[in-house]
Amino acid sequence: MVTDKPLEPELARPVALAPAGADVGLEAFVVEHYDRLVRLARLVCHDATDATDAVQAGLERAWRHRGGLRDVERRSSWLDRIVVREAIRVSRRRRTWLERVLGLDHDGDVVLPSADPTPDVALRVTLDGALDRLSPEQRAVVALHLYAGYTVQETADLVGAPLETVRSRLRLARERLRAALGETQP
Amino acid sequence: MTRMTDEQLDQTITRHLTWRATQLQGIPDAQGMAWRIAGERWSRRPRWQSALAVLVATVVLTMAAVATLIVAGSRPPAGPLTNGPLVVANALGWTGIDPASGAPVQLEPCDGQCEEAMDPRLSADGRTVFFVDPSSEGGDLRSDQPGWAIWRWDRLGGSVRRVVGCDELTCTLRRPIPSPDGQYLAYGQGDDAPGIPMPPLDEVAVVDAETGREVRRFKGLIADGWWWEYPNFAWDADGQLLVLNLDPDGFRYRRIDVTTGAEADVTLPQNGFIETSPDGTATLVTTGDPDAWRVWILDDRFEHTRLLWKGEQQWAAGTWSPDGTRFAGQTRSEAPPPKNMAYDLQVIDITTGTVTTHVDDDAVGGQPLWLPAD
Repeated sequence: MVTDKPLEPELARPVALAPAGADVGLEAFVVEHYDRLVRLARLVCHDATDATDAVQAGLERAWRHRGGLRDVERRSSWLDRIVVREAIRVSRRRRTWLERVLGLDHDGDVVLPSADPTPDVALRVTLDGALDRLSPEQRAVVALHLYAGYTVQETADLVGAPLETVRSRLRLARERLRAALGETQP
Repeated sequence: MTRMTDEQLDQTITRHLTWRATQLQGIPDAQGMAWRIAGERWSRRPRWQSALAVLVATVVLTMAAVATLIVAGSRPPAGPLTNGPLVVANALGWTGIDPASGAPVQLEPCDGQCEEAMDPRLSADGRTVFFVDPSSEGGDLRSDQPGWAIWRWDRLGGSVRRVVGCDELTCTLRRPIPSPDGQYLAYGQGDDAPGIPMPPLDEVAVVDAETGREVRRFKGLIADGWWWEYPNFAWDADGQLLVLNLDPDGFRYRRIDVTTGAEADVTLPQNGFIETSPDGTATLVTTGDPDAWRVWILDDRFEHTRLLWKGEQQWAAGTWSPDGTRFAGQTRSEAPPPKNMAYDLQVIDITTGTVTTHVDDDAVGGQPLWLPAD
């Protein structure tokens, strides 16, 4: 799919269905942060459809278990954690052995905006392909650390993995991206 | 191409991620997206590819399951166990490989709505598999009860039921290990603390394997911080629980009679995982540091220690083969890229120490499980 038309903001936002007495603060917070959550999930998932699926599933979980959030100041990282884990789960499901056998685990369509403001489209295609070849867990730590700006320790907390595991995933992801860019070993 | 510094590479990746995150044009019907509340069914948009894959998988796996149940139900296992498929549990149910042929195996029909299954463990009689269903934020598809839970799967009868679970969503359960006689189940537990969403597990609980009734709980344990950061524990041949803990004298194993609570020190190679063989006659211990990782075999009295293997790969908790001749575990190495930190599924021969690799790289999926041949 090739288009440079941005998503209508009104269409991208969730429709609040909370009943009377619900956590209006959480609802308002989600409405405000919905776009950011979709973007974060998009970095883990193969396509935007999976990303929105992950956000929807994550928000449903968050809503059902909002009582587990004891510190409202941690809402942002709490929601990021839920959505990223859901994005990993969605991505894993897309990689079933049956899908691999049937060849249904690749999207095939690289989104290239026609009004690309930077000249190095080849670099984007290369990096996008390399990111798609990373495991969902590797994409998650790359997204949380290098896009969302979490520290490595915070990223480990968010994905629920030991610190060393997250460091390893980052190291391996960097090496694979270097290899995709044609870099040679030092 | 010249090699960028890590900082330059990170900047390049960050720029690309910022661009990639805005590529949301693939959403065809954002109007339909709604933040659904509890009690309403959230439905995924149909995708013909997924539907086809699910349809084919359902038909094939249902036929396989029916055939398996017919065959299994007609002949109960007897005598020593022989080796069947080597399995890694994941979000899809139970997937694995045949160690002999390398062919994929799917053991539990799953229509894509399975919760993740982690840390599977076979009972000594080969009939039951205990596993963890992690619902980190709730939303358990196997039941309406949220939170992490330990389930038991009757392999021959086909039933799956919940044994014990967390009351709080902030609780994590890992590594359920049934006692050799099948009476008890030991597992690790941890609870979130303010500011620490996923702490190391610092408790080991022992419950009745049938009813989930708690028998013992050991709190304040110090995880070794070496692998998955949950406490080291295992059952010995006498049905006593071995637990590694850090006290003022350093790391040491305690051997605990769970019925009386009596404790005693036991000397084992430390700071590694311990896994007792199905018949209890041998205990495998993995230890080491980045320069030399080791696998040891101890006899049932912990008196004779044999170095089985030494090398560059770090072994995690794994599973003995049902016949007790081999051990399968996830390993990773510090080798140069791209093999550094890649996870393999490897099998070591308990007699010779010979290691064979069954899954290269990306073998992360939790502890493997080696099922008996039915």
